[in-house]
Amino acid sequence: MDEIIQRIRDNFGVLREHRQRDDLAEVWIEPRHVLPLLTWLKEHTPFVQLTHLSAVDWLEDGEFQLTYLLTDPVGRRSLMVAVRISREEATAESVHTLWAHAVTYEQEINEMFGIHFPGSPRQGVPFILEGWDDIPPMRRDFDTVEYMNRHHPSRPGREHTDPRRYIGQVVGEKGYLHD
Amino acid sequence: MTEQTALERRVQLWFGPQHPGITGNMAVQAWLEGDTLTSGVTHVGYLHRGFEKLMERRKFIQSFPIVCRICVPEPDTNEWLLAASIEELSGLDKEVPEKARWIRTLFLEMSRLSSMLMVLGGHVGAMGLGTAPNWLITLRDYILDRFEELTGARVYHMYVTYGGVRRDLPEGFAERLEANLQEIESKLPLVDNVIFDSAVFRKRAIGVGVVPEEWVDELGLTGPIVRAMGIARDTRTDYPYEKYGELDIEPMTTTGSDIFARAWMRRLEIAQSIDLIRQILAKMPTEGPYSAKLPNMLTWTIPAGETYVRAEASRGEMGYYVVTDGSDKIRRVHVRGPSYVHGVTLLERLMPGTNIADLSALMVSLQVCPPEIER
Amino acid sequence: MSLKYTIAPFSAWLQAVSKPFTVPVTGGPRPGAPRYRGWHINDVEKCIGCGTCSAICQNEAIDMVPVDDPVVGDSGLRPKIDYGRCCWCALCVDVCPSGSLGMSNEYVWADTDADVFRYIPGVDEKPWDDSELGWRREEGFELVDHDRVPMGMLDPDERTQTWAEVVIGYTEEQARVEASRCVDCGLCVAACPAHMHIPDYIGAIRDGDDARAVQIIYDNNAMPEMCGKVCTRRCESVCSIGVQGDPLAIRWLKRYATERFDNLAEVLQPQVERVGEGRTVAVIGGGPSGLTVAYYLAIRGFEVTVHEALPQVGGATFFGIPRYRFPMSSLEKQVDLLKSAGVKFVLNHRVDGDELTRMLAENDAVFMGVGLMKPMALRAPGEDLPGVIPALDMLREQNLGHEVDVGEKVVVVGGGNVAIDASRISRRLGAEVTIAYRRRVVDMPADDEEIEDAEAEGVEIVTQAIPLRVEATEDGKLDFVWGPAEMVQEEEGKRPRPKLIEGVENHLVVDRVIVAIGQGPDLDWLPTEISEKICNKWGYIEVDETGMTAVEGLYAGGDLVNDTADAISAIADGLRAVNGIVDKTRAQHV
Repeated sequence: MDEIIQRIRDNFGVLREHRQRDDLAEVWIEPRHVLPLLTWLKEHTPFVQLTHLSAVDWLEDGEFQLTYLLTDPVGRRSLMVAVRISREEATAESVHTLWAHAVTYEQEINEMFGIHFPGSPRQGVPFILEGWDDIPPMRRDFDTVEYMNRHHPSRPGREHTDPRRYIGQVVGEKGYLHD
Repeated sequence: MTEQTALERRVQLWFGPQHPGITGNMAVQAWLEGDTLTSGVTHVGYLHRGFEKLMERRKFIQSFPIVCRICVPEPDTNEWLLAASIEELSGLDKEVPEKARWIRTLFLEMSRLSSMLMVLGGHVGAMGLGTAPNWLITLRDYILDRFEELTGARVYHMYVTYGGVRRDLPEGFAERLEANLQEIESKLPLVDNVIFDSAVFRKRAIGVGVVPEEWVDELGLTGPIVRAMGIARDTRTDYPYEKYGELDIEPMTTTGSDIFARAWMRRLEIAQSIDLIRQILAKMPTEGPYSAKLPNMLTWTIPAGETYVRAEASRGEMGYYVVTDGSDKIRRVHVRGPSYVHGVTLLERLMPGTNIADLSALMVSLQVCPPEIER
Repeated sequence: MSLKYTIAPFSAWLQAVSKPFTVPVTGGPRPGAPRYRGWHINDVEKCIGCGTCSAICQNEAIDMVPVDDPVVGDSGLRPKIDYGRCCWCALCVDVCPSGSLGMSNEYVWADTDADVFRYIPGVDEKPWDDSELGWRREEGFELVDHDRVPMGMLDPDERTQTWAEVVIGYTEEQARVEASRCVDCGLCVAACPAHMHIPDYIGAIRDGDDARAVQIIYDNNAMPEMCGKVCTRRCESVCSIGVQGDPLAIRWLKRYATERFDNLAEVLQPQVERVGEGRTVAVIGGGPSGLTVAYYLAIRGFEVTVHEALPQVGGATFFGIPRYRFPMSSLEKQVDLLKSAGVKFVLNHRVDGDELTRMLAENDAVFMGVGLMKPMALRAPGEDLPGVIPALDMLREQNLGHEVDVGEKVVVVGGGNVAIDASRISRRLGAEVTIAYRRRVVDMPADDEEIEDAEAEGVEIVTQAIPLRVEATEDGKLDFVWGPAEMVQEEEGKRPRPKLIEGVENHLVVDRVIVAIGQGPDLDWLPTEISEKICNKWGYIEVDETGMTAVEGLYAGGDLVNDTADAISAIADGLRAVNGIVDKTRAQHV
């Protein structure tokens, strides 16, 4: 593992790296290196399987992270290749030419996060959602509670009394530093 | 009568979402020429509840009653994976008591067993043979009885939590479980007679739905599908977790890579599971705590980090990719279910050339579980 | 295909005459397993209405609804469960701090009216209320943290050699961990006489915002560093975590937050309307109630002057509390804040009746919080002997820095915090100390921790000891004679009373008998026309809901007014007077 990471450092450049376990490491790389690095890993190293591809919304940083989890099934270890892309542009290179099932992952991420993978066959084709009319729901700024209240309001008859506030009210809790 | 063009001979057929032959709530949009599929597309979306999103706005402890719903026949892998990943990121994994680890291993193996009993029945059920499925569901119910007394519920156990499990084994549990195992073992020869020695099943399963070996790495296939090709890969032995490393266990394999081989894999693994459960019961310590001391679960925060934890479900490798950001909630969780690949890309690749009558059996043999595709 | 595969499946026909796979069910629904998670049950007597069940419910299935009037230690709310949302995960049961909530093993219930599936377990009667089986809280699996972060203390042997503060205080990390144990129920707020915003400042400490914590603390307590060290902490006695575990260390957390900052004025920055601009208020007595009035009126623009008979303000917290519990520097920090708010102090000045009359005429309001200054006598022969001294006098002399001589052997009579303080001071002065108390240790009004600390420092406690007399011995010592008592339950529900066992006499020869059996009001200095209006028959002062006495413009508070006689109650009285004075001023503006 160390050797492979060293070679990634030398040939592609590593922005940040982390060793989570003996059998799991993570490297953050620049977006332009994704396709070359993954191609190299698949063709020339034992990390031949794409176990999953997922996205993380770092709303506060204005970035999405794409995490490609590659597995070496013989050496029994995994490498996470992570890349941060601009949230505004939200475009990444497709890897479906390397792994056929990446199509599904890219289709889902496209639908759930609004990240576009040009050239990937099922972009824009609904995977799970049908007739969705809101922002992509896995984005952090999509408010599930607000959506639920708008589309599926609760049955009437519920009333919750928050003990902390109720007690304060009953005893006449009052502040003196602020009017 | 004029000769039909190929296009005119083509029929588009929606198989599901309301169809007894489909694996759960999903649909296959199939194109047929005569009885033979020319292509097919998997459609999901009937079960989506946004579990991953829901977990992002819940405290860690509040997520664990959610994850079990990702798989009905085998909810426990999800519970364990969530617990294990959060434990790893929080450092709580060092505190999990020995006994809890044994109970978890037992719990996971019971879950695999009950799931495999169900899916073995499904294999023949999909071909219209009703006897074995009824028997096997009954046998699974015996295991559910044990789950009920262990966890307080039959299906959604919500039993494994951070730091251990929620309750100790009840008095006399091992004996009652052993009695169930014996009951199951005694019935298995009958089951074999109506499945593996059935001409109907053999004729329709042997040589049907063959998965080529080259696809394993290309599609990241795992679990019984791979083992039914003779490749000995099993998360329990490749990446031993909990107490699997201390058990006498070898991956089961068979050859053929067809529906029959995959059904036979289940049969082998049912026997293996029974053996493992006995080993666990024999090795499990009787004394000691079943849970670590937990911090206040209403305010618990854990450091920022990322991890991927995997486990062997009855369908293949199940994994949780979990990201935390130092707050009291999960930042992102990605549930990687084996069906995600098996039920979409692999199934779509296998469909061309398949007879429509075999489609159900093919799907069952891939053990497609739609909720883990949609989450 | 061989014949075998054609024949084998027919073996299934044998099942027709064999034992079936299935298990027959007779006599109604099959009962759930002993720990089945079925319909909820709740022991409403045990339930304290803390709402933790509702807070942990990820399905938002639990509402807290009022079923009874709130009392201290019980919000009067009870959980109402909406089974349209409940997923039977039983987190509510496992988290329940009082252990009242459970689940029965009943799971069958059908009705055509969906609304019946919302009920208040234990209040709305259900057939399974008395169910013995089902999921219950189990020790060994806690979702809240029952264990308090231990407080560092000086070693007992070291303590008696020094006047240094015994309690070391939490480190930042310890404080964050301790604060994270809070479940934000608010029961403590009701118990605190000043209704401090306890869960809020604990939350701020947990989140690492100590400045915010201090602001919240000062929101209704101007002497929190004192409270953080010596408060009687009624809050902790009702803490929901305390029902099954250690209550939150609310006092120590307050102490932690206030000790974080040296310059409080900079942190606080009050945002209040200066309604009192151009108005004057005189405060008689610089104790907790008086200082509270002074601070909160001063930041509102009132010109406040505090008159104190001793050379230092602080009242009982200055002269009555030993420095090893509440060091001078802590007190001075709080006084500095008052000074920076513009409060003026007149020290070493005892106000008399004429001056009070003048003050009432010259000021917009006068607040009187002079405390209980008259020690109760031993009420046994020999009480006037030299060497029989009131504990408060001794504490005051000690705190004023005067030399105090207690000799080699001391008996302290009493069981309150003052008795403990006197005994621990005597230990530090080098004496051998015995506490003689009429009742049992459990009956002692003193703080449990104080009692433990005293014992650790070598104080011997003799219980059920009734003083009979004190005699002077020939070699200039005192013979303290006491008789043993038995505890008699005279009235159901009342605490047992000690009854002297006649005929037995025990002797304890000592140098000093320190009497710590309480204090009473000393208001002889009041002009008659005022005292007859404001005092009740026991000599205490009575006030209305604005803190004002029957004399217009004369407010009062503290031990003279309330019957609990602790600092936090005095602060609460002060706040009441602040409200009264501010409201009245506002009304006059209009």
